[in-house]
Amino acid sequence: MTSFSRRHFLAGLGAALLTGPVLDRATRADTGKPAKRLVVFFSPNGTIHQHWRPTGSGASFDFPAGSILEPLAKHKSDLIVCDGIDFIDVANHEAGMAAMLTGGGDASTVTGGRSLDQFVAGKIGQGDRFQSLELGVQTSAWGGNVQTRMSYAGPGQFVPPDDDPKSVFSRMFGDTSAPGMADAAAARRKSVLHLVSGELEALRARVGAGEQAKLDQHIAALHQVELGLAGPGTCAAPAAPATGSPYDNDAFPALGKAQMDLLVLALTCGMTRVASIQWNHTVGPAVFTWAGIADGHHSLSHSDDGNAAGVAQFVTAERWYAKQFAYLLDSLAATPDPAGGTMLDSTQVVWCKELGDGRLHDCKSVPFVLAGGKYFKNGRYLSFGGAPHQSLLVSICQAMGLDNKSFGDASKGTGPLAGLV
Amino acid sequence: MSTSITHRLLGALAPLLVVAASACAHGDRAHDPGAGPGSTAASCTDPGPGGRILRRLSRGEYDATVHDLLGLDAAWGASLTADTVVNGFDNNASALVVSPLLADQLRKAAEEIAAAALASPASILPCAPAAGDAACAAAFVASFGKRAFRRPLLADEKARYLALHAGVAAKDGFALGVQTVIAAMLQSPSFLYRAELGEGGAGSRADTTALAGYEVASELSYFFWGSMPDDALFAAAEAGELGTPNGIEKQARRLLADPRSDAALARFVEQWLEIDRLPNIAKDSATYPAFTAGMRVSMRDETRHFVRHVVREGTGALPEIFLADYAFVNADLAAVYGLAAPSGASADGFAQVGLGGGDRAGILTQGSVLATHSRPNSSSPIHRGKLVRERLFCQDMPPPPPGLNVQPPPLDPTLTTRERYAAHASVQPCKSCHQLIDPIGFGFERFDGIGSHRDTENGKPIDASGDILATQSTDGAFDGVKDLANRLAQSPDVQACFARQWLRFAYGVSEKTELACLATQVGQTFASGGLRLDDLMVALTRTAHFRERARDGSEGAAGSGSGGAGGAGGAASAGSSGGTGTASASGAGGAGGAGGADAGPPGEPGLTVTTMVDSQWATGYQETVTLTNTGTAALTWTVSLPVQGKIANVWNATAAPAGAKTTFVGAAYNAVLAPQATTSFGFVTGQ
Repeated sequence: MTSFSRRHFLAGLGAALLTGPVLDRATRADTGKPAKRLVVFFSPNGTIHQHWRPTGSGASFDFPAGSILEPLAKHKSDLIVCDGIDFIDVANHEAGMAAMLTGGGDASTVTGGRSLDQFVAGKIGQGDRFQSLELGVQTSAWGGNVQTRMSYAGPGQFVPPDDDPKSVFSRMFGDTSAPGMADAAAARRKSVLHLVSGELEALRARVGAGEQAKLDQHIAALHQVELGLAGPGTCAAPAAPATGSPYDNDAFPALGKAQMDLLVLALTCGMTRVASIQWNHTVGPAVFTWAGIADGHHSLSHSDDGNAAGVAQFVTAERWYAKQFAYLLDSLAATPDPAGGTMLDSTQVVWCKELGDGRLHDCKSVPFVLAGGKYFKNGRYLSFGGAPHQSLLVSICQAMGLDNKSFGDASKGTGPLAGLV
Repeated sequence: MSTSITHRLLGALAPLLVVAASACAHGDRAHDPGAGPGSTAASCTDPGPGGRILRRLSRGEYDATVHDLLGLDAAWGASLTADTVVNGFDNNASALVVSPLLADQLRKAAEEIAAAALASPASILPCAPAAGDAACAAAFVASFGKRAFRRPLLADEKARYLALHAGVAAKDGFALGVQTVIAAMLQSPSFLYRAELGEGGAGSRADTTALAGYEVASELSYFFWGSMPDDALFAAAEAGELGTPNGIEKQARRLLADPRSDAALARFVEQWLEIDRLPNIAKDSATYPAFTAGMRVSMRDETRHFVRHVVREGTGALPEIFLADYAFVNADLAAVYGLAAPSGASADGFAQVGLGGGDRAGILTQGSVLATHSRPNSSSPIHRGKLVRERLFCQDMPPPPPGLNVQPPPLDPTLTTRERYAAHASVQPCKSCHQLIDPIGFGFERFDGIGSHRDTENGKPIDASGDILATQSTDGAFDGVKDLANRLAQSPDVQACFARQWLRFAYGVSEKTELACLATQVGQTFASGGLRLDDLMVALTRTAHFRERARDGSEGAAGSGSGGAGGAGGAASAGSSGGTGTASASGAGGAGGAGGADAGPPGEPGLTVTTMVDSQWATGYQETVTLTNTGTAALTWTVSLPVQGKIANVWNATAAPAGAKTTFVGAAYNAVLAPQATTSFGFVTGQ
């Protein structure tokens, strides 16, 4: 069923959605086992490198006591700490956020201005109930803009995350009624969607190019809605999340945990293969009251070395994010992959940020942590000496079984990072 | 290193210096990389209209529209994913797109709203559901459809929704048919998008096309009320009264006089000064225990009371916004502000009180503004200075240059905030930019992070002297917000910017391209008049842009695809058969073109296509497609539809995959459709 659907959609959606290299795992030269799923985990406002970096190098490294990544110690063998990856010719909050997952470039690039998650989902997720799933934790109090969005369906086309676990739960489980009624309701929904799609196409013929692009997005979105109407299948619904307002600052930890639980469930239940969780956003002002901190995260990210209290609070906040990342890895490791092994074994996880040293507003040595999967050789701390992050994005595509040689702006760098596999 | 930093900074600052030196009016276009050479002052004598656009309802507009359409207290829009914000406003047409998440949320909302509407069918149906028949369904589709789509339905649209109703009613009953029609209409582009396509016929120039009356009616209602037109606006559109500036102004004045325009005024002000963030800004409860959830609401309501008062009962002019020597407070706010508790409060606890010559004046010393533009645990000269620069002067500030540690000075119990920030504003390299920001923000220092007044901080006296640099006509020293407000109230820079912000809000556009000249012109009119808000708002309805749009070459396409040819299932085409008939699909494209302002949308093609999913199961579905020739000549039909999965069986037609779609051609016995005749075909999908 699944393979049928995928084949159908790859065949049926036409060339427009398949501008990249064709997925062809059989002809790959390398022997690493590609991951079946991709998870992107974002936290904002850069880092302070001396509190982030492990000691040692290669397979012989450690997380110093009190350092930002120390909470990941138990997963040391599951991850690669990536140092020295630059966003070439990019600096500051907004540009960093925009380049992070897209690699820059425009619609003419191999990846068409899409972000990593959207590009990969377009390759491996077509026909899935959710081609991709975007979850957020307080990303949208300022509305959508370059600061608050990281996923792109094309140049300038934000893919907004869902900030409310209750809404996510409803999309996953809550939208079907009694078994007898379900088919009738689904038939009515499908009729309505077809009617609306037809109206959009008719309207499309009456408008100029700019508005046509807008309607094309809408038509494509309805196609995704139709796929999403398939029920949760055999997956049993857990208790609905009991989270409160998605905007309540002090609810930040509870909202994040609920989203991560739903994310793992959506992957395990086969509802999607590509998911992301975005914590706050660049310049994000979340106040980590639960960690005894009174100032906003962005303000703390500018604490200079002479401000010991500010630096300590920022490190505390960053360690908190590391604990959330560890929780996500714990969950994946504790969940069996229905096809054997654990979910962590078959899922490539990426912790990304939009700045290097947040205090300097630059995008040099932007901290990345790769985890899970069997494609990369995990359990290492690697320094790449200023390599372009486009190469990291290419490497992650390869880990997902894709063959594209560049990601985003190819003038900044092509090919994968050396030494990951 | 420091040399290169300085160099970069000078580069970033250059546009500001250009502004300062330029004699060109409204030179802040210098900040605007999108402003092309075409938008120079020379071409601004006769600003043409902007482009033909579709404006998706914003979240607030969605809820207001559902309320007016169905009488439901609606909060569905508020739970939709946040809209993209451009220039501070959430109604920018180019940014209001439909993502997969939003499409699914809109589907769910439409279904829930439709179910809620059927809870009291008498309010929407001309008959009892139990007695429902085809005539009742037709009356409902026409009357509800007109209000949902904000224009009368075309014949093929009526047929399409009636077919949807009939299909559902046959299986699930009349009421569920109505419910499904409502859910579909609420997901239709004709509901979700406000069309400003200029489908009212020829414009006043060869390169423009006139907006139809119904298009202008929606422009007016959403500008002044943030919602759908009322009966009087529909009637004015129908009577062709919305084709002239005077006809439009008459309705604009009526809408503005109605209390319903309070909400639109509030929405503008809240987005203009970014106080729409007030409900969600982070604030440290240990530093500011008074800043409760209730306090956020009180501060928001204070500003709403204030704006309403200025417009309705005050001078109605911009200076009063800055200079008012009164405030609206409830007991909680009075306590935070250090004012006496109000007496004679209205039912909601608010009363107007005089400020008695203190440091407060107008909107800039209201808690909504001061608390929003602060840090969680202190005031913020940077945020407040940036507010004035960006929102009142329309000067976007460059981000801090990379490679520079821009730590905001940490809290220090021995220093005032101003002392902490002093180096920031006076020492290079920070100074280059921050001298434009912080010295304005220092003027607010008599107000803490939630707007309480203070004369001292950490035991030291407050210095609220400030300075404005690098503006065109507002430069100079001042002391305290009241002094600053005086300067702003008289500033041509602020007046021009205010008009520009209203244009952005009213038209849902960035004025960076074709509307830059219009923004300039509207600003000049505003400044040379009495600076009244109502005049400014009305002036925005008298422009060419409000009545016409620039042609973009796709207007002529209306006939082939506009109405029902696409029907329920995608593009369909109807062609002639061996010369025995005329191809009706190409006809009537100009239906909206000839009739003037009230012509409504164009297009009455000859073939109506409706689809109905008869049943659905795990691995496939069955769909019936009904075709009606609504033209006056026989035609031979082909229909192209998206099909999910593989077709396992098809009847009354043959199917051939064609790209993303499947093309259906009639069988020998039904390929030719006589005028007014109906036929159908169907298919089943499966593995």
